[in-house]
Order: sequence, then C-alpha cells, then structure tokens
Amino acid sequence: MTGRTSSVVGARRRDNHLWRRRAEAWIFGSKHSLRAIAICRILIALCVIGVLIANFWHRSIAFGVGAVWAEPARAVSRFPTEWFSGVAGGTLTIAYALVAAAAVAFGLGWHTRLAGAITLAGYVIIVSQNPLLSGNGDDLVRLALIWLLFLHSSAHLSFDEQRRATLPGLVVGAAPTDNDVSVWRTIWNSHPILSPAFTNGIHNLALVAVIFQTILIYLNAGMFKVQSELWSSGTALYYALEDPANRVIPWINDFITSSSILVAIGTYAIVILQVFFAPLLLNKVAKPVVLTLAVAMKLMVAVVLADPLAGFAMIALLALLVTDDEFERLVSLLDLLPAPVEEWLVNRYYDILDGIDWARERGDDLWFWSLDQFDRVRGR
Amino acid sequence: MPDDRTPKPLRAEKLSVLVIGLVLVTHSIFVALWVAPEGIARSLIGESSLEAYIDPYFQQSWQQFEPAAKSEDIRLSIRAKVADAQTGEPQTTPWIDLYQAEHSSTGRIDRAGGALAQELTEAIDRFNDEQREIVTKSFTEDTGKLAEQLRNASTTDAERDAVLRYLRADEMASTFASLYTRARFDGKLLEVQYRVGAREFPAFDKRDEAELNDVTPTFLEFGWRSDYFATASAQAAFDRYAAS
Repeated sequence: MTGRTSSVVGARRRDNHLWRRRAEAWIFGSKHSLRAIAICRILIALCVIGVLIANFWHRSIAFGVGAVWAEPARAVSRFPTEWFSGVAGGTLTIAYALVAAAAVAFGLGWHTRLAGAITLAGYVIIVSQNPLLSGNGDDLVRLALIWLLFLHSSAHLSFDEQRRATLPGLVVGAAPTDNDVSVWRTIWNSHPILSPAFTNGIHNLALVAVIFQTILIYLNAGMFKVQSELWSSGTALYYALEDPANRVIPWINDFITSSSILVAIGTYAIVILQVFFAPLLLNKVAKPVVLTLAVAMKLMVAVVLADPLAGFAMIALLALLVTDDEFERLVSLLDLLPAPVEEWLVNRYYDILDGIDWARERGDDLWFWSLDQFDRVRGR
Repeated sequence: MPDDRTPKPLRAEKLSVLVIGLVLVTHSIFVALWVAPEGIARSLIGESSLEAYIDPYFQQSWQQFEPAAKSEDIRLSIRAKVADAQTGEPQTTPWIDLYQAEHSSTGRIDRAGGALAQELTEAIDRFNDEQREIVTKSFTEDTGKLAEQLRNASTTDAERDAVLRYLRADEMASTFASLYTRARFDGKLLEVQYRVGAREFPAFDKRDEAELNDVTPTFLEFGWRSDYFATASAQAAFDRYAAS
C-alpha cells in the first residue's frame, strides 16, 4: 500500500469513526425535542377530552347499548370490541369517566406514562365501538398515543417534572446508601429506573419513527391528491368548501369560493405543501414557513371544515418537528411583542405554574401520605 | 462535536437499542407499504401479512386526508310503515332526511346518516344492473332471500365482495331506521325503508349561476325491509336522541 493510499484509507476511517461517534452521541447523549413532545402530549390529551365531551350527551347511541345498529361494522373490525359491545349505560358512563380522568392526568403530566396507557386503551375501546363513525382524526390520536408511550413526554409542563425535582428516587448505577428509597417509590416519584443512555436511545428512535410517520401522512395524502382531477385542475378547495357538512361558518366558505384566484392558490398550496413537505423540512429557511403553513391549514380544517379532531391531532404531531433549539428561538420571539402583550403572556404562564404547584401540594400530600405509611409498615 | 458529558452506553444497551431500531425500521417500512398504492414492493410481503400486522392498531388511510374534496352531497332518508293505534291500518310516515334531523348535537352521531349513505353507495357502485334491481325490491318476510338473490346475480369476485358489504350496510341502515322511526312515530312499527339522495355540487365555473340548494337530488330508493327489535335500553337511547 502506498503512503498516499494509506492516508486516504486512514482519513475515511477517521470520518466513519467521527460519524459513528456523532450518531451515538445523538442517540444516547440526551433526549431530543422534549418541549415539543410535551406540547404534543397536551394537545393529544385535549383531543381525547374534546371527543369525550362532544359525544357525552349521545354516548349511548354512538358507543354504547344504543350503537346496536353498528353491530355489522363491529363484527368485521379487528379491534377487540366483543367484551365492551353493547354495554349498559352505567358501565359506559364509568368507562367514559375513567378515560376522561386518565386523559386529564395525561395532559397535566401526572404519572404520565400510566395515564397515557390508560388513555390509549380506553380511547381505542370506546371509539372502536362504532367503526362507521371513526375517521382520520381517531387514527391520528391513536397513533400519537402509541408513540407517546415510548417518548419522554413529561420533561416539561407536567406534575411529574415537579415531583422529580422535589422527591427522591434511586439513582441508576449509583452505589446503594441507607437513604435509598424503594424501586416502587422511585417509579411513583417519576424517576427513571433504567440507565439514561438506554432510555435516551429508545426516546430518540421513537421520535425519529413518529416523525417518519408524520411525513408519510403528508406524502401519501399529497400523492393521492396529485392523481385527482379536482386537485390537479386547481378547483378542489371549492368542492371541499361547498360540502354542507363543512359549512360551519358559511361566510368564510363563500368568501373563499367567490374568488377563482383564492381557490386556485389554496388548492395548489395544499398539494405542494403535502407533496414537498419532507424535502422542505430539510431547509432551515423553508422549515418554519412550511410548518406555519401546515399549522394554518390544519386550523382551517379544524375551524372552517368542522373537523377539530383531525385538525388539532395533526397540529400535535407537527409540533414534534420543532427541535428544542427552535423552540427556544420561538419563545425568544416573545421579546418582539409589545411589552403589555408579552407581560400578559408571561403572567398567564406563571398562573399555570402556580396552579400546578397548588394542585400538586394538595394532591401529593394525600397520595404520599399513604405511600409513607406503606414504606413505614415495610420497615424502610 | 459529540458531547463529552454523553453517558457511555454499555455494549448490551447499544445492542438492545440497535435491535429496537431495527424493529422500528421494519415497522416503518410496513406502514409505508400499507399506505402506498398496490405494487411490486407491496406484493412481495403479501397483502394478508401486511394487513395482519397493520390492522387494527396501526390502521390508517390518508387518501381522504383533510381537506378532502368530493363532487356530490349524499344523504340518507328513512321512513316506516306504522300500524295506526286506533284502526290498525298501516300508514306510511313521511321521509326523514337524517342530515337535517341530526344537526342538533355536536357529537359524531350526526355523521351517521352520511356514513350509512356512503357505505350503501360504495357497495352498490360495484353492483351489476341485475343486483341494482334486486335491492329496490322489498324483502320483509325472509331477509335471507335478499342475500341469496344478490349472490346468485353476482358474476365477478368484486360483485360478490360488494354483496357482503351491501348486506352489512343494509342491516345497519334498517336497524337505524327501525330504532329512529319507532322513537319518532306512535303506533306499531311494521316495516322500514331507506333511500340515498345525491346532489352534485354546481360545477366550479357555474358556481355563480346555481347553488347546491337549487339542485334537485336524484334518489335511489331501496325496497321495504323488516323492522328490527332492540332492547329497551337501546330504544331508550334512540328516544332521547330523536327528542333532542
């Protein structure tokens, strides 16, 4: 081997080694997008609560004993619907209340993972009782809840964050001491029981997978729209807004459809956004623009097209594309707001934190009293 | 550059995360193939294997991802034959457009009429002329005959699959119509009937000349079907809904 060849091979090895170290550092080093994931968690919890509230009055005919008319659709569904099928009103109401409570706990970040698992199971069980009335919004909520189980979603804006900061837990890998608490107490106090490197790896890989899922949704929807004559002719937005089911605020629909230019721009913007969503995200300048447009489009779906579940669930998934650094920059934009507006927003944020503290003190006093008793009885 | 404070993963941890990563990659490929149009890549894995993995928990379809555009408004209307409480004579109730009747609540039950109309339309779209003729006939004594006649009239696999889909939609529409009309009208329910009304949206270039409300719907009227008896609690739920 000549000196020149060996130096090239050596440089390649060094490059590979560097890339490998960088990849390992990204995967195992720390958990990414924690703020965005917390926002996603809160939005998804609100979606679940919204569905439960919106359907509460007619829950029996939609999901309970009155949903007997949907039995043929349930029979071909692969969801485990049999044991909950046609439950009496009281049982459905209890299940409803349990899922709603779990969703509230999930949104507040109170024992987040457990609350998330109960919310997921409960939501699937209730909604799958009527496959005929399910839509894209339910798919988005279900998929988001599945992925959130693998993500560390309670690092911010949560009771768990506060509990971790104030209550003790075992330190993974540390030598045992007399002051150690039990494993169960560690879990209850929301401390990790697996090594940081391992949990970082799971979290970051799950984050990549859910972002891939989000991109896939846009790409898939965009490709189908491209094949449709209504979309390629630039008039599809008119037909979407003309649908009586989508005319909640008719004057907005009429305002848009009255202008050919608005309809054409809107239609093509939607197709371009969906088809080129992924490549545009790779550009630092285009990314905030494309995310803003995507959120605006979903707000339109939520408000104008009367599908708040699909709209807000998608916004929750879009939030995952904002990194922690980008989130910090977004927050720093608050400085550009007029002082009274900024002050009002900051005060509301502190109101929320005060509320969490207030509720935590009262809630934890009760819960932890019983755990203290338990530990004392066990002689710890 | 990599952070020096990075926790050093053990070899076992690296391997575990690698295995989980491979599982996630496989999962993502399966999902991508599931939502993709049918093709060589999809057939390599096999439709049934793919479905077994995806359905139900990862089930998804983004073909109608909002905003979705359709070219017509389809609605379900129902009516019933009710025995007069005094004379016992059968009387036919007026048609009830479920879309107009339902829009009093915020829940998804308001979509029931539209969803049922969609199911019926998609099923009969695949029917041949003879099958379309059969569904307009009345089957009130023996509903098994409806299934038998539709199957006998099938000439392709697609038509046979459509029969199953139609029979499910027929049962759902008939049950919904029975419970709803029993809640709305006095007297003993004898038979129910449903129809699908379709109105094409005014074409984009003619939107200033006509409104959707000016368009006369075309109705596909299905035959009479036997009524469905539900439990008292199911009927009570419909009574509350119809009264709201």
